[in-house]
Amino acid sequence: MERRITEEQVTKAILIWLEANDWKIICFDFPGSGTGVPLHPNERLRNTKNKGAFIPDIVAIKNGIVIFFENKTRFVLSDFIKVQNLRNNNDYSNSIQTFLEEFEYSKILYGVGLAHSNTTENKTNNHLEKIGFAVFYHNIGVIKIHFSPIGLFD
Amino acid sequence: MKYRIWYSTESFADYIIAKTNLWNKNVVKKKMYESDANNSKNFHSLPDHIKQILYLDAPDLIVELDTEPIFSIEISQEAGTGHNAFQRFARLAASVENDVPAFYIYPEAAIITRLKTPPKWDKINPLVFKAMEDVMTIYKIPALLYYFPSDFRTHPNALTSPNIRNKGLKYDKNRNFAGSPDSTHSEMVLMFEAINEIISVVEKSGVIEGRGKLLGKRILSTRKALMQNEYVTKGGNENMSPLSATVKIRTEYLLNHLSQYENKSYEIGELLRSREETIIYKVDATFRGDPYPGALAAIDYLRCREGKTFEERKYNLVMCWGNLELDEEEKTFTIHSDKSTVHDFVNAVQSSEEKNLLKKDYNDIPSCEIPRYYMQVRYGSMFSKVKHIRVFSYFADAILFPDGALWRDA
Repeated sequence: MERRITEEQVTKAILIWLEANDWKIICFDFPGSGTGVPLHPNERLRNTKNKGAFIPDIVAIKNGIVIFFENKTRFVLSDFIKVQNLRNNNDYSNSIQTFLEEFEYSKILYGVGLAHSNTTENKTNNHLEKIGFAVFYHNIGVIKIHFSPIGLFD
Repeated sequence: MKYRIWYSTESFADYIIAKTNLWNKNVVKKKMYESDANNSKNFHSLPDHIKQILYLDAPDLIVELDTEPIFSIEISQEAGTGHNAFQRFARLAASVENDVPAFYIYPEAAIITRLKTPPKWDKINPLVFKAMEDVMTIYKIPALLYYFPSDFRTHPNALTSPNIRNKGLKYDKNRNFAGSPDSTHSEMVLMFEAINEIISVVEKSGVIEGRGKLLGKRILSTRKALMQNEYVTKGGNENMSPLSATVKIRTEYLLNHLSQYENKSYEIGELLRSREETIIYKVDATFRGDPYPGALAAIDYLRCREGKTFEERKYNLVMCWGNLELDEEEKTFTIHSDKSTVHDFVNAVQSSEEKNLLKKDYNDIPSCEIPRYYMQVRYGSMFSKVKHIRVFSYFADAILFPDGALWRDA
């Protein structure tokens, strides 16, 4: 039986690919890594201590552009909606600002890293308006840019 | 000789294989599933001897040689103040109680940033060294702690730590080992040497015979001595958390308290009566899991245990969810809490039970669930309850709430 790709493999392959393309990794997380950095919603939105905190799967920076990845092994609509909310709302602005205070940046983009399949690709294409970029993990760790409207990874 | 590496994080499995003598062995990696409660689809497919180690809680890695486990590793990046250092203790106990040497990788300190105060190092509670020593004394099996590499010793001022974003911890630079500790750090180099020693001994003497020789090996006994030294130099004492949350009482008080559950046809059994005194672990909090299961396990070894099973205790070990008020006149006590009730416990048990298969008709069980059904026929809900319920009911002779109690008769 063919072994299923894991989110850990997707995230590690993207990390290696980003660093090979001169991106600086600010933080990363995958299930069991223990390395994640929780970002909390702005004070006015907090009901309880950890309510609504999110842990980005990868944050990286290059040439003043910061990218946030949400990674999965397949298309998950709720993740696309999460990315859309991050792009459109400022619910986490204070936490993100503090998190990035040592870096100079002019733009933050939110996108996804997914294990490729035809189904995932088709579904992603139907929801491109929700995300800032998409990269796909293909076999044996190869990363391919799928959607990068501003030439982010050129 | 065939090695199998059971892992929860593949990076860490790759790291241990690459950095120890496992690199040139016949090694197969296998994904480990924590429990039937949190992975009902896969847990039943694990070998029985692995299930037994996972019964209390799952370590991050188990290495076996020809189907005999030879060591386990638990790794944490958390700051180890107070109860926190003991959060994973039940995992170590589960390993050692199955005669499997356990490694614990834990930061000597981690940087914590709190609102309105500058970042600072939160240091490990040294009582964890004493608890591990006591486990080793009872089982004669290594339970060794190695520090997760950090900037603590080189940058005592947390603000100057080059790894402040990672809580001051130093990770391996190889992305294939993402999330693993810096393999060039002396603590990790020493741990790799200890692992290599275990591999060498079990290959030479066999797993069963080899286990008994391990604590006599210089590399392992030196670490044991260092841990004893760390306990002393870091100011360890028995008034530290979680022991500071315990009280020792005459068992008579406990029996008088529990007498409310006795009647003409039922009397509390012999186990609790057999010990003159009782250690009560007081938790005035909402009923929940971490860090309390690990702390309870540690209290057992630090205060109660004299032998390998819960029957071999000097004192009863009782968990009390609430404030305890002694009544010296009546030689009993009352419990007050507006945070926890016995129904919290029972609801958690019921919730786990709802996911079980034993009440199903054969025709309602799909083929893929039959092995799980058969596992539950053999073990009941042993692996199917949530972790904190499993650990509490394994270690505590009794669990007390303001409105109810659970206890063992024998």
